[in-house]
Amino acid sequence: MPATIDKVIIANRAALRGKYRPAGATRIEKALAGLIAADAAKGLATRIVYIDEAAQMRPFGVPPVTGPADEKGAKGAVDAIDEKLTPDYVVLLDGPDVVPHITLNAIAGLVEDDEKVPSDLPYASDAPWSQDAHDFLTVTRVVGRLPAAAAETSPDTIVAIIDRAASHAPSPPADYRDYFSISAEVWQESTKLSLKAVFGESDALAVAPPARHPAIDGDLTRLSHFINCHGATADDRFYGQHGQRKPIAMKSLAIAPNVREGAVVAAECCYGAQLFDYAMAHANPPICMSYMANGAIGYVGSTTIAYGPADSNSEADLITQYFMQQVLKGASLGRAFLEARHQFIRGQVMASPTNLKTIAQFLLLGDPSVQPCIAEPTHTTPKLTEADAKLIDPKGQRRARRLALQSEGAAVAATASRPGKVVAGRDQVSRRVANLAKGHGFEARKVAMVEARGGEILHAAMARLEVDRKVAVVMERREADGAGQTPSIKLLVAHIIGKDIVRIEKLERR
Amino acid sequence: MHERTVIGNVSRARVHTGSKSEHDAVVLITDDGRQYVLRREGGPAFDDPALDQLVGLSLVVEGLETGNTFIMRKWQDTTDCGDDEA
Repeated sequence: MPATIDKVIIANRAALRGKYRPAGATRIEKALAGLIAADAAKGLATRIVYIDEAAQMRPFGVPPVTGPADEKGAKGAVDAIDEKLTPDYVVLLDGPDVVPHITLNAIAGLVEDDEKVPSDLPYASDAPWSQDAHDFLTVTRVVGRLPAAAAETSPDTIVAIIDRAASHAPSPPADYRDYFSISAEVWQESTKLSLKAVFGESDALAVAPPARHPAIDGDLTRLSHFINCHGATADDRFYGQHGQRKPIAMKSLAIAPNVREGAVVAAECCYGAQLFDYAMAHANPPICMSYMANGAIGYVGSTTIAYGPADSNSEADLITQYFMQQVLKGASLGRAFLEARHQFIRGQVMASPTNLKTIAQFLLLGDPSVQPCIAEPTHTTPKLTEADAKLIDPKGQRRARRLALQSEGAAVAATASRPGKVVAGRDQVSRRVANLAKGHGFEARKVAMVEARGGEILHAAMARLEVDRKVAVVMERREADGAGQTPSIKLLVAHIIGKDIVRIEKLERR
Repeated sequence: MHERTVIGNVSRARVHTGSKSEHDAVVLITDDGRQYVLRREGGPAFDDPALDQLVGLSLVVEGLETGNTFIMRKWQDTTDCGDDEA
Protein backbone atom coordinates (compact mmCIF):
# COMPACT_ATOMS: atom_id res chain seq x y z
CA MET A 1 0.00 0.00 0.00
CA PRO A 2 1.41 3.46 -0.90
CA ALA A 3 2.29 5.73 2.00
CA THR A 4 -0.56 8.06 1.16
CA ILE A 5 -3.87 7.43 -0.55
CA ASP A 6 -5.33 10.30 -2.55
CA LYS A 7 -8.57 8.69 -3.67
CA VAL A 8 -10.65 5.91 -2.14
CA ILE A 9 -13.30 3.99 -4.05
CA ILE A 10 -15.98 2.67 -1.70
CA ALA A 11 -17.47 -0.56 -3.06
CA ASN A 12 -19.41 -3.63 -2.02
CA ARG A 13 -18.13 -6.74 -3.82
CA ALA A 14 -20.98 -9.05 -2.84
CA ALA A 15 -23.55 -6.49 -3.96
CA LEU A 16 -21.75 -6.03 -7.30
CA ARG A 17 -21.68 -9.81 -7.82
CA GLY A 18 -25.34 -10.04 -6.93
CA LYS A 19 -26.27 -7.23 -9.27
CA TYR A 20 -24.06 -8.08 -12.27
CA ARG A 21 -23.19 -11.74 -11.60
CA PRO A 22 -19.55 -12.69 -10.92
CA ALA A 23 -18.49 -12.22 -14.55
CA GLY A 24 -19.95 -8.71 -14.62
CA ALA A 25 -18.31 -7.85 -11.31
CA THR A 26 -14.99 -9.05 -12.71
CA ARG A 27 -15.39 -6.69 -15.69
CA ILE A 28 -16.03 -3.83 -13.27
CA GLU A 29 -12.91 -4.75 -11.27
CA LYS A 30 -10.87 -4.68 -14.49
CA ALA A 31 -12.27 -1.27 -15.35
CA LEU A 32 -11.38 -0.06 -11.85
CA ALA A 33 -7.84 -1.36 -12.33
CA GLY A 34 -7.69 0.80 -15.46
CA LEU A 35 -8.92 3.80 -13.48
CA ILE A 36 -6.30 3.20 -10.78
CA ALA A 37 -3.57 3.03 -13.43
CA ALA A 38 -4.82 6.20 -15.14
CA ASP A 39 -4.95 7.97 -11.77
CA ALA A 40 -1.39 6.86 -11.03
CA ALA A 41 -0.27 8.42 -14.29
CA LYS A 42 -1.88 11.68 -13.11
CA GLY A 43 -0.11 11.43 -9.73
CA LEU A 44 -3.11 10.13 -7.80
CA ALA A 45 -2.78 7.07 -5.56
CA THR A 46 -6.16 5.34 -5.68
CA ARG A 47 -7.37 2.39 -3.64
CA ILE A 48 -10.60 0.34 -3.61
CA VAL A 49 -12.07 -0.66 -0.25
CA TYR A 50 -14.75 -3.33 -0.26
CA ILE A 51 -16.80 -2.40 2.76
CA ASP A 52 -18.58 -5.76 2.86
CA GLU A 53 -15.37 -7.74 3.51
CA ALA A 54 -14.22 -8.28 7.08
CA ALA A 55 -10.54 -8.59 6.13
CA GLN A 56 -10.64 -5.26 4.29
CA MET A 57 -12.44 -3.45 7.10
CA ARG A 58 -10.35 -4.88 9.97
CA PRO A 59 -7.53 -2.30 9.64
CA PHE A 60 -10.13 0.45 9.87
CA GLY A 61 -11.51 -0.89 13.16
CA VAL A 62 -15.13 -1.18 12.06
CA PRO A 63 -17.21 -4.19 11.03
CA PRO A 64 -18.15 -4.82 7.40
CA VAL A 65 -21.59 -3.74 6.27
CA THR A 66 -24.26 -6.38 6.79
CA GLY A 67 -25.58 -5.84 3.26
CA PRO A 68 -26.05 -3.20 0.59
CA ALA A 69 -28.95 -1.66 2.53
CA ASP A 70 -26.88 -1.21 5.71
CA GLU A 71 -26.81 2.59 5.72
CA LYS A 72 -25.43 2.97 9.21
CA GLY A 73 -22.67 0.46 8.44
CA ALA A 74 -21.79 2.22 5.17
CA LYS A 75 -21.61 5.62 6.85
CA GLY A 76 -19.45 4.14 9.64
CA ALA A 77 -17.20 2.48 7.08
CA VAL A 78 -16.66 5.69 5.11
CA ASP A 79 -15.97 7.62 8.31
CA ALA A 80 -13.40 5.07 9.47
CA ILE A 81 -11.72 4.89 6.06
CA ASP A 82 -11.57 8.69 5.82
CA GLU A 83 -10.16 8.93 9.33
CA LYS A 84 -7.38 6.45 8.60
CA LEU A 85 -6.46 7.28 5.00
CA THR A 86 -7.45 10.99 4.83
CA PRO A 87 -8.02 10.79 1.07
CA ASP A 88 -8.57 13.89 -1.03
CA TYR A 89 -11.42 12.19 -2.90
CA VAL A 90 -14.09 9.67 -1.87
CA VAL A 91 -15.87 7.77 -4.67
CA LEU A 92 -19.07 5.83 -3.99
CA LEU A 93 -19.22 3.02 -6.54
CA ASP A 94 -22.51 2.24 -8.30
CA GLY A 95 -26.09 2.95 -7.29
CA PRO A 96 -27.83 3.00 -3.91
CA ASP A 97 -28.45 -0.74 -4.24
CA VAL A 98 -24.68 -1.25 -3.88
CA VAL A 99 -23.54 1.66 -1.68
CA PRO A 100 -26.72 3.07 -0.16
CA HIS A 101 -27.86 6.65 0.03
CA ILE A 102 -28.41 7.65 3.66
CA THR A 103 -32.16 7.97 4.17
CA LEU A 104 -32.66 11.28 5.96
CA ASN A 105 -35.86 12.11 7.79
CA ALA A 106 -38.45 14.43 6.28
CA ILE A 107 -37.49 18.06 6.85
CA ALA A 108 -39.37 19.52 9.82
CA GLY A 109 -41.61 22.45 8.97
CA LEU A 110 -42.13 21.35 5.38
CA VAL A 111 -45.49 19.88 4.47
CA GLU A 112 -44.85 17.83 1.34
CA ASP A 113 -45.01 14.38 -0.16
CA ASP A 114 -41.40 13.30 0.37
CA GLU A 115 -41.48 11.14 3.47
CA LYS A 116 -37.70 10.67 3.39
CA VAL A 117 -34.73 12.28 1.63
CA PRO A 118 -32.20 9.80 0.15
CA SER A 119 -28.87 11.61 0.45
CA ASP A 120 -25.10 11.34 -0.08
CA LEU A 121 -24.50 14.41 2.11
CA PRO A 122 -23.68 12.38 5.27
CA TYR A 123 -20.74 10.75 3.46
CA ALA A 124 -19.27 14.22 2.91
CA SER A 125 -19.32 15.04 6.62
CA ASP A 126 -17.38 13.61 9.55
CA ALA A 127 -20.42 14.06 11.79
CA PRO A 128 -21.47 10.72 13.32
CA TRP A 129 -24.46 8.63 12.22
CA SER A 130 -27.78 10.43 12.21
CA GLN A 131 -30.80 10.68 9.95
CA ASP A 132 -31.33 14.39 10.48
CA ALA A 133 -30.02 16.59 7.68
CA HIS A 134 -29.10 19.42 10.04
CA ASP A 135 -26.49 17.19 11.68
CA PHE A 136 -24.44 17.23 8.46
CA LEU A 137 -23.85 20.93 7.85
CA THR A 138 -20.13 20.50 8.53
CA VAL A 139 -19.28 19.36 5.02
CA THR A 140 -15.57 18.72 4.56
CA ARG A 141 -15.10 15.78 2.19
CA VAL A 142 -14.89 15.73 -1.60
CA VAL A 143 -17.42 13.03 -2.52
CA GLY A 144 -19.01 11.82 -5.74
CA ARG A 145 -20.79 8.71 -6.95
CA LEU A 146 -19.95 6.70 -10.07
CA PRO A 147 -23.56 5.74 -10.67
CA ALA A 148 -25.73 2.99 -12.05
CA ALA A 149 -29.46 2.80 -11.71
CA ALA A 150 -30.92 0.42 -9.16
CA ALA A 151 -31.32 -3.13 -10.46
CA GLU A 152 -29.26 -2.56 -13.63
CA THR A 153 -28.13 -6.03 -14.73
CA SER A 154 -25.53 -5.29 -17.41
CA PRO A 155 -22.15 -3.94 -16.26
CA ASP A 156 -21.77 -2.05 -19.56
CA THR A 157 -23.00 1.27 -18.17
CA ILE A 158 -20.89 1.40 -15.02
CA VAL A 159 -17.85 0.15 -16.95
CA ALA A 160 -18.32 2.92 -19.55
CA ILE A 161 -18.61 5.51 -16.76
CA ILE A 162 -15.44 4.23 -15.06
CA ASP A 163 -13.55 4.16 -18.37
CA ARG A 164 -14.63 7.73 -19.15
CA ALA A 165 -13.44 8.94 -15.74
CA ALA A 166 -10.10 7.27 -16.44
CA SER A 167 -9.62 8.76 -19.88
CA HIS A 168 -10.92 12.32 -19.44
CA ALA A 169 -8.38 15.07 -20.03
CA PRO A 170 -9.26 18.65 -19.05
CA SER A 171 -10.34 20.97 -21.87
CA PRO A 172 -9.81 24.71 -22.23
CA PRO A 173 -12.48 26.63 -20.24
CA ALA A 174 -13.82 28.12 -23.48
CA ASP A 175 -15.13 24.67 -24.43
CA TYR A 176 -17.41 24.75 -21.38
CA ARG A 177 -18.62 28.32 -21.83
CA ASP A 178 -20.72 27.22 -24.80
CA TYR A 179 -23.77 25.91 -22.95
CA PHE A 180 -27.11 24.22 -23.43
CA SER A 181 -29.88 25.42 -21.17
CA ILE A 182 -33.57 24.67 -21.06
CA SER A 183 -36.16 26.11 -18.69
CA ALA A 184 -39.86 25.74 -18.08
CA GLU A 185 -41.32 28.91 -19.55
CA VAL A 186 -42.77 29.97 -16.18
CA TRP A 187 -39.29 29.90 -14.61
CA GLN A 188 -37.38 31.57 -17.42
CA GLU A 189 -36.63 34.74 -15.45
CA SER A 190 -35.07 32.69 -12.67
CA THR A 191 -33.09 30.61 -15.18
CA LYS A 192 -31.82 33.72 -16.97
CA LEU A 193 -30.45 35.01 -13.66
CA SER A 194 -28.69 31.68 -13.09
CA LEU A 195 -27.18 31.67 -16.58
CA LYS A 196 -25.96 35.25 -16.22
CA ALA A 197 -24.35 34.31 -12.90
CA VAL A 198 -22.57 31.32 -14.46
CA PHE A 199 -21.92 32.24 -18.10
CA GLY A 200 -22.36 36.03 -18.08
CA GLU A 201 -25.34 35.94 -20.47
CA SER A 202 -28.50 33.97 -21.12
CA ASP A 203 -28.81 34.24 -24.91
CA ALA A 204 -28.79 30.49 -25.52
CA LEU A 205 -31.68 29.70 -23.16
CA ALA A 206 -34.31 27.43 -24.68
CA VAL A 207 -37.78 27.87 -23.22
CA ALA A 208 -40.18 24.93 -22.89
CA PRO A 209 -42.67 25.02 -24.40
CA PRO A 210 -41.99 25.22 -27.27
CA ALA A 211 -38.48 23.78 -26.80
CA ARG A 212 -38.29 19.96 -26.92
CA HIS A 213 -36.83 17.12 -28.94
CA PRO A 214 -35.82 17.05 -31.75
CA ALA A 215 -35.41 20.83 -31.99
CA ILE A 216 -33.03 20.90 -29.00
CA ASP A 217 -30.98 17.86 -30.05
CA GLY A 218 -28.26 19.80 -31.86
CA ASP A 219 -27.61 21.90 -28.76
CA LEU A 220 -27.24 18.83 -26.56
CA THR A 221 -23.76 18.39 -28.01
CA ARG A 222 -22.53 21.35 -25.95
CA LEU A 223 -20.41 20.57 -22.90
CA SER A 224 -22.19 22.56 -20.17
CA HIS A 225 -25.88 21.83 -19.53
CA PHE A 226 -28.12 23.81 -17.16
CA ILE A 227 -31.67 22.46 -16.83
CA ASN A 228 -34.58 24.03 -14.93
CA CYS A 229 -37.60 21.91 -15.79
CA HIS A 230 -40.18 19.83 -13.95
CA GLY A 231 -39.35 16.27 -13.02
CA ALA A 232 -41.26 13.45 -11.37
CA THR A 233 -40.44 10.34 -9.38
CA ALA A 234 -39.54 7.20 -11.35
CA ASP A 235 -39.88 9.15 -14.60
CA ASP A 236 -37.50 9.28 -17.58
CA ARG A 237 -38.68 12.68 -18.80
CA PHE A 238 -38.41 16.37 -17.87
CA TYR A 239 -41.27 18.79 -18.53
CA GLY A 240 -41.73 22.45 -19.44
CA GLN A 241 -44.64 24.63 -18.34
CA HIS A 242 -46.81 27.27 -19.97
CA GLY A 243 -49.77 28.32 -17.85
CA GLN A 244 -51.15 25.10 -16.42
CA ARG A 245 -49.85 22.97 -19.29
CA LYS A 246 -46.71 20.89 -18.70
CA PRO A 247 -45.59 19.31 -21.96
CA ILE A 248 -42.66 16.90 -22.19
CA ALA A 249 -39.41 18.74 -22.97
CA MET A 250 -36.66 16.12 -22.58
CA LYS A 251 -36.64 12.34 -22.82
CA SER A 252 -34.00 9.91 -21.69
CA LEU A 253 -33.81 8.02 -24.99
CA ALA A 254 -33.66 11.21 -27.08
CA ILE A 255 -30.81 12.61 -24.95
CA ALA A 256 -28.63 9.49 -25.26
CA PRO A 257 -27.36 9.85 -28.85
CA ASN A 258 -26.61 13.55 -28.52
CA VAL A 259 -24.51 13.77 -25.36
CA ARG A 260 -20.90 14.75 -25.99
CA GLU A 261 -17.95 13.16 -24.22
CA GLY A 262 -17.05 15.32 -21.25
CA ALA A 263 -20.41 17.01 -20.71
CA VAL A 264 -21.19 18.44 -17.27
CA VAL A 265 -24.83 18.82 -16.22
CA ALA A 266 -26.58 20.79 -13.49
CA ALA A 267 -30.27 19.89 -13.24
CA GLU A 268 -32.60 21.68 -10.83
CA CYS A 269 -35.50 19.35 -11.60
CA CYS A 270 -37.39 17.42 -8.94
CA TYR A 271 -36.02 13.86 -8.84
CA GLY A 272 -33.39 14.86 -11.46
CA ALA A 273 -30.76 12.56 -9.91
CA GLN A 274 -33.05 9.78 -8.68
CA LEU A 275 -31.39 6.46 -9.57
CA PHE A 276 -34.68 4.58 -9.73
CA ASP A 277 -35.22 0.99 -10.77
CA TYR A 278 -36.32 1.69 -14.32
CA ALA A 279 -36.88 -1.97 -15.15
CA MET A 280 -39.38 -2.29 -12.33
CA ALA A 281 -41.05 0.95 -13.43
CA HIS A 282 -41.21 -0.38 -17.03
CA ALA A 283 -39.49 2.85 -18.09
CA ASN A 284 -36.26 3.93 -19.78
CA PRO A 285 -33.15 4.77 -17.74
CA PRO A 286 -33.39 7.94 -15.66
CA ILE A 287 -32.26 11.07 -17.51
CA CYS A 288 -29.25 11.40 -15.19
CA MET A 289 -28.14 7.91 -16.24
CA SER A 290 -28.79 8.65 -19.90
CA TYR A 291 -26.33 11.51 -19.56
CA MET A 292 -23.74 9.57 -17.55
CA ALA A 293 -23.92 6.45 -19.70
CA ASN A 294 -23.50 8.34 -22.95
CA GLY A 295 -20.71 10.82 -22.36
CA ALA A 296 -21.26 13.08 -19.36
CA ILE A 297 -18.50 13.12 -16.73
CA GLY A 298 -20.48 14.95 -14.07
CA TYR A 299 -24.09 15.55 -13.10
CA VAL A 300 -25.49 17.44 -10.13
CA GLY A 301 -29.15 16.86 -9.36
CA SER A 302 -31.73 16.12 -6.72
CA THR A 303 -33.02 12.81 -5.37
CA THR A 304 -36.40 14.27 -4.38
CA ILE A 305 -38.74 17.27 -4.74
CA ALA A 306 -36.71 20.46 -5.19
CA TYR A 307 -37.52 24.11 -4.53
CA GLY A 308 -36.94 27.48 -6.16
CA PRO A 309 -38.73 30.70 -7.04
CA ALA A 310 -40.06 31.71 -10.46
CA ASP A 311 -38.35 35.05 -10.99
CA SER A 312 -35.42 35.22 -8.59
CA ASN A 313 -32.74 32.80 -7.39
CA SER A 314 -32.67 30.63 -4.28
CA GLU A 315 -32.50 26.97 -3.23
CA ALA A 316 -32.00 24.69 -6.29
CA ASP A 317 -30.99 27.66 -8.47
CA LEU A 318 -28.08 28.49 -6.19
CA ILE A 319 -26.60 25.06 -5.47
CA THR A 320 -26.54 24.27 -9.21
CA GLN A 321 -25.15 27.60 -10.35
CA TYR A 322 -22.46 27.62 -7.63
CA PHE A 323 -21.36 24.17 -8.85
CA MET A 324 -21.14 25.26 -12.49
CA GLN A 325 -19.24 28.43 -11.54
CA GLN A 326 -16.55 26.36 -9.82
CA VAL A 327 -16.35 23.91 -12.73
CA LEU A 328 -15.67 26.82 -15.10
CA LYS A 329 -12.95 28.07 -12.76
CA GLY A 330 -11.11 24.78 -13.24
CA ALA A 331 -12.06 22.91 -10.07
CA SER A 332 -12.41 19.14 -10.03
CA LEU A 333 -16.03 17.98 -10.02
CA GLY A 334 -15.83 17.04 -6.35
CA ARG A 335 -14.19 20.27 -5.25
CA ALA A 336 -16.70 22.25 -7.32
CA PHE A 337 -19.57 20.55 -5.52
CA LEU A 338 -17.97 20.86 -2.07
CA GLU A 339 -17.36 24.58 -2.65
CA ALA A 340 -20.95 24.92 -3.90
CA ARG A 341 -22.18 23.33 -0.68
CA HIS A 342 -20.01 25.69 1.39
CA GLN A 343 -21.20 28.74 -0.54
CA PHE A 344 -24.81 27.64 -0.10
CA ILE A 345 -24.52 26.98 3.65
CA ARG A 346 -22.59 30.23 4.15
CA GLY A 347 -25.05 32.39 2.25
CA GLN A 348 -28.43 30.84 3.03
CA VAL A 349 -30.40 30.53 6.26
CA MET A 350 -30.16 26.83 6.97
CA ALA A 351 -32.93 26.98 9.56
CA SER A 352 -35.23 27.45 6.57
CA PRO A 353 -36.72 24.04 5.75
CA THR A 354 -36.40 24.48 1.97
CA ASN A 355 -32.72 25.42 2.24
CA LEU A 356 -31.98 22.47 4.50
CA LYS A 357 -33.72 20.14 2.09
CA THR A 358 -31.73 21.56 -0.82
CA ILE A 359 -28.37 20.85 0.82
CA ALA A 360 -29.54 17.33 1.72
CA GLN A 361 -31.04 16.29 -1.59
CA PHE A 362 -28.54 17.46 -4.22
CA LEU A 363 -25.67 15.11 -4.98
CA LEU A 364 -22.80 14.69 -7.43
CA LEU A 365 -22.74 11.87 -9.95
CA GLY A 366 -19.26 11.41 -11.39
CA ASP A 367 -15.69 10.81 -10.31
CA PRO A 368 -14.96 13.73 -7.95
CA SER A 369 -11.29 13.85 -8.99
CA VAL A 370 -12.10 14.53 -12.64
CA GLN A 371 -11.29 18.07 -13.69
CA PRO A 372 -13.55 19.08 -16.60
CA CYS A 373 -11.57 22.13 -17.68
CA ILE A 374 -8.22 23.73 -17.06
CA ALA A 375 -8.04 26.58 -14.58
CA GLU A 376 -7.41 29.90 -16.27
CA PRO A 377 -4.75 32.07 -14.65
CA THR A 378 -6.23 34.98 -12.70
CA HIS A 379 -4.71 38.28 -11.64
CA THR A 380 -3.70 36.63 -8.35
CA THR A 381 -1.85 33.77 -10.05
CA PRO A 382 1.88 34.39 -9.51
CA LYS A 383 4.00 34.47 -12.67
CA LEU A 384 6.68 31.82 -12.33
CA THR A 385 9.74 30.94 -14.35
CA GLU A 386 9.78 27.48 -15.87
CA ALA A 387 12.32 26.41 -13.27
CA ASP A 388 10.19 27.70 -10.40
CA ALA A 389 7.08 26.06 -11.84
CA LYS A 390 8.85 22.69 -11.78
CA LEU A 391 9.29 23.06 -8.03
CA ILE A 392 5.54 23.25 -7.45
CA ASP A 393 4.17 19.88 -6.33
CA PRO A 394 0.61 19.28 -7.62
CA LYS A 395 -0.08 16.84 -4.78
CA GLY A 396 0.98 19.45 -2.26
CA GLN A 397 -1.18 22.05 -4.00
CA ARG A 398 -4.19 19.73 -3.75
CA ARG A 399 -3.44 19.07 -0.09
CA ALA A 400 -3.30 22.81 0.54
CA ARG A 401 -6.72 23.21 -1.11
CA ARG A 402 -8.13 20.38 1.03
CA LEU A 403 -6.75 22.02 4.16
CA ALA A 404 -8.52 25.23 3.22
CA LEU A 405 -11.75 23.38 2.41
CA GLN A 406 -11.68 21.42 5.68
CA SER A 407 -11.33 24.68 7.58
CA GLU A 408 -13.96 26.36 5.43
CA GLY A 409 -16.41 23.50 5.99
CA ALA A 410 -16.02 23.76 9.76
CA ALA A 411 -16.23 27.56 9.66
CA VAL A 412 -19.41 27.79 7.59
CA ALA A 413 -21.09 25.19 9.79
CA ALA A 414 -20.12 27.14 12.91
CA THR A 415 -21.69 30.29 11.53
CA ALA A 416 -24.75 28.62 9.97
CA SER A 417 -28.16 28.33 11.53
CA ARG A 418 -30.08 25.07 11.70
CA PRO A 419 -33.68 24.26 12.54
CA GLY A 420 -34.74 23.67 16.09
CA LYS A 421 -38.25 22.99 17.38
CA VAL A 422 -41.20 23.53 15.06
CA VAL A 423 -44.18 25.07 16.81
CA ALA A 424 -47.52 26.50 15.74
CA GLY A 425 -47.02 30.27 15.71
CA ARG A 426 -49.49 32.04 18.00
CA ASP A 427 -47.55 35.10 19.17
CA GLN A 428 -47.63 38.67 17.89
CA VAL A 429 -44.99 38.15 15.21
CA SER A 430 -46.87 35.09 13.96
CA ARG A 431 -49.96 37.25 13.58
CA ARG A 432 -47.88 39.75 11.58
CA VAL A 433 -46.65 36.94 9.34
CA ALA A 434 -50.23 35.75 8.90
CA ASN A 435 -51.23 39.31 7.95
CA LEU A 436 -48.27 39.50 5.58
CA ALA A 437 -49.45 36.28 3.94
CA LYS A 438 -52.92 37.77 3.69
CA GLY A 439 -51.41 40.78 1.91
CA HIS A 440 -49.85 38.37 -0.60
CA GLY A 441 -53.23 36.83 -1.28
CA PHE A 442 -52.99 33.88 1.10
CA GLU A 443 -56.15 32.57 2.69
CA ALA A 444 -54.19 30.23 4.96
CA ARG A 445 -53.54 31.65 8.42
CA LYS A 446 -51.61 28.75 9.95
CA VAL A 447 -48.00 29.73 10.63
CA ALA A 448 -45.37 27.07 11.37
CA MET A 449 -42.59 28.69 13.39
CA VAL A 450 -39.17 27.03 13.14
CA GLU A 451 -36.78 28.03 15.92
CA ALA A 452 -33.27 28.62 14.58
CA ARG A 453 -30.39 27.18 16.52
CA GLY A 454 -26.89 28.24 15.72
CA GLY A 455 -23.63 26.60 14.96
CA GLU A 456 -21.04 27.38 17.62
CA ILE A 457 -20.11 30.86 16.39
CA LEU A 458 -23.65 31.89 15.43
CA HIS A 459 -24.93 30.63 18.79
CA ALA A 460 -22.36 32.76 20.62
CA ALA A 461 -23.23 35.80 18.48
CA MET A 462 -26.95 35.31 19.10
CA ALA A 463 -26.30 35.08 22.85
CA ARG A 464 -24.04 38.15 22.84
CA LEU A 465 -26.55 40.24 20.90
CA GLU A 466 -29.44 38.76 22.87
CA VAL A 467 -31.42 37.97 19.76
CA ASP A 468 -33.18 34.86 18.70
CA ARG A 469 -33.88 33.85 15.17
CA LYS A 470 -36.93 32.08 13.74
CA VAL A 471 -38.23 31.10 10.35
CA ALA A 472 -41.98 31.29 9.79
CA VAL A 473 -43.56 29.19 7.06
CA VAL A 474 -47.06 29.58 5.63
CA MET A 475 -48.15 26.93 3.13
CA GLU A 476 -51.48 27.17 1.43
CA ARG A 477 -52.98 24.11 -0.16
CA ARG A 478 -56.35 24.84 -1.68
CA GLU A 479 -58.03 22.06 -3.59
CA ALA A 480 -59.85 22.60 -6.87
CA ASP A 481 -63.47 23.62 -6.52
CA GLY A 482 -64.53 21.52 -9.44
CA ALA A 483 -63.66 20.25 -12.87
CA GLY A 484 -61.58 22.68 -14.87
CA GLN A 485 -60.81 24.85 -11.81
CA THR A 486 -57.24 25.53 -10.85
CA PRO A 487 -56.45 25.41 -7.12
CA SER A 488 -54.25 28.18 -5.77
CA ILE A 489 -51.23 27.24 -3.68
CA LYS A 490 -48.48 29.38 -2.25
CA LEU A 491 -45.59 29.12 0.16
CA LEU A 492 -44.29 32.10 2.11
CA VAL A 493 -41.15 32.04 4.25
CA ALA A 494 -40.46 34.92 6.65
CA HIS A 495 -37.14 35.28 8.48
CA ILE A 496 -37.43 36.76 11.95
CA ILE A 497 -34.84 38.29 14.25
CA GLY A 498 -36.25 38.93 17.71
CA LYS A 499 -39.68 40.24 16.90
CA ASP A 500 -38.76 41.78 13.55
CA ILE A 501 -39.38 40.31 10.12
CA VAL A 502 -36.10 40.80 8.26
CA ARG A 503 -36.61 38.89 5.01
CA ILE A 504 -39.50 37.48 3.03
CA GLU A 505 -39.31 34.73 0.41
CA LYS A 506 -42.27 33.73 -1.69
CA LEU A 507 -41.89 30.42 -3.45
CA GLU A 508 -44.03 30.72 -6.50
CA ARG A 509 -46.26 27.96 -7.69
CA ARG A 510 -44.36 25.62 -10.00
CA MET B 1 -40.79 0.86 -5.01
CA HIS B 2 -43.31 -1.89 -4.41
CA GLU B 3 -45.79 -3.76 -6.59
CA ARG B 4 -49.19 -3.65 -4.96
CA THR B 5 -52.94 -3.24 -5.38
CA VAL B 6 -54.81 -0.26 -3.92
CA ILE B 7 -58.50 0.60 -3.71
CA GLY B 8 -59.94 4.10 -3.49
CA ASN B 9 -61.70 7.07 -4.98
CA VAL B 10 -60.20 9.28 -7.68
CA SER B 11 -60.21 13.06 -7.39
CA ARG B 12 -58.08 16.05 -8.28
CA ALA B 13 -55.67 17.79 -5.89
CA ARG B 14 -52.74 20.17 -5.86
CA VAL B 15 -49.59 18.25 -4.90
CA HIS B 16 -45.91 18.95 -4.15
CA THR B 17 -46.94 22.43 -3.10
CA GLY B 18 -44.41 25.22 -3.30
CA SER B 19 -41.87 22.94 -4.99
CA LYS B 20 -40.50 22.77 -8.49
CA SER B 21 -42.94 19.98 -9.28
CA GLU B 22 -46.08 21.54 -7.82
CA HIS B 23 -49.04 20.73 -10.00
CA ASP B 24 -52.68 19.75 -10.15
CA ALA B 25 -52.78 15.99 -10.13
CA VAL B 26 -55.29 13.22 -10.38
CA VAL B 27 -55.06 11.38 -7.07
CA LEU B 28 -56.46 8.25 -5.53
CA ILE B 29 -57.57 8.46 -1.91
CA THR B 30 -57.72 5.10 -0.21
CA ASP B 31 -60.19 4.10 2.49
CA ASP B 32 -57.56 4.64 5.15
CA GLY B 33 -57.01 8.21 3.91
CA ARG B 34 -53.73 7.74 2.03
CA GLN B 35 -53.39 9.91 -1.09
CA TYR B 36 -51.49 8.69 -4.15
CA VAL B 37 -50.65 10.75 -7.22
CA LEU B 38 -51.75 8.57 -10.14
CA ARG B 39 -49.74 8.02 -13.30
CA ARG B 40 -50.41 5.56 -16.08
CA GLU B 41 -47.47 3.29 -16.90
CA GLY B 42 -45.75 5.01 -19.81
CA GLY B 43 -48.03 8.02 -19.47
CA PRO B 44 -46.77 11.54 -18.71
CA ALA B 45 -46.37 12.64 -15.08
CA PHE B 46 -48.35 15.81 -15.84
CA ASP B 47 -51.44 16.64 -17.89
CA ASP B 48 -52.55 13.16 -18.86
CA PRO B 49 -56.06 13.52 -20.31
CA ALA B 50 -56.66 9.79 -19.90
CA LEU B 51 -56.41 10.22 -16.13
CA ASP B 52 -58.89 13.10 -16.17
CA GLN B 53 -61.50 10.59 -17.33
CA LEU B 54 -61.06 8.67 -14.07
CA VAL B 55 -61.92 11.58 -11.75
CA GLY B 56 -64.98 10.75 -9.66
CA LEU B 57 -64.61 6.97 -10.06
CA SER B 58 -63.90 4.29 -7.48
CA LEU B 59 -61.05 2.07 -8.66
CA VAL B 60 -59.10 -1.06 -7.86
CA VAL B 61 -55.61 -0.36 -9.19
CA GLU B 62 -52.65 -2.69 -9.66
CA GLY B 63 -49.23 -1.17 -10.15
CA LEU B 64 -46.10 0.25 -8.61
CA GLU B 65 -46.05 2.34 -5.45
CA THR B 66 -43.13 4.76 -5.37
CA GLY B 67 -43.45 7.12 -2.43
CA ASN B 68 -46.76 8.89 -2.81
CA THR B 69 -46.97 8.19 -6.54
CA PHE B 70 -48.78 5.14 -7.89
CA ILE B 71 -47.86 3.97 -11.39
CA MET B 72 -50.94 2.20 -12.71
CA ARG B 73 -50.54 -0.99 -14.69
CA LYS B 74 -54.17 -2.20 -14.57
CA TRP B 75 -57.30 -0.80 -13.05
CA GLN B 76 -60.96 -1.65 -12.68
CA ASP B 77 -63.86 0.74 -12.20
CA THR B 78 -65.95 -0.33 -9.20
CA THR B 79 -68.04 2.85 -8.95
CA ASP B 80 -71.38 1.16 -9.52
CA CYS B 81 -70.58 -1.85 -7.35
CA GLY B 82 -71.90 -2.09 -3.81
CA ASP B 83 -69.46 -2.10 -0.93
CA ASP B 84 -69.61 -5.88 -0.70
CA GLU B 85 -68.79 -6.29 -4.36
CA ALA B 86 -66.00 -3.69 -4.37
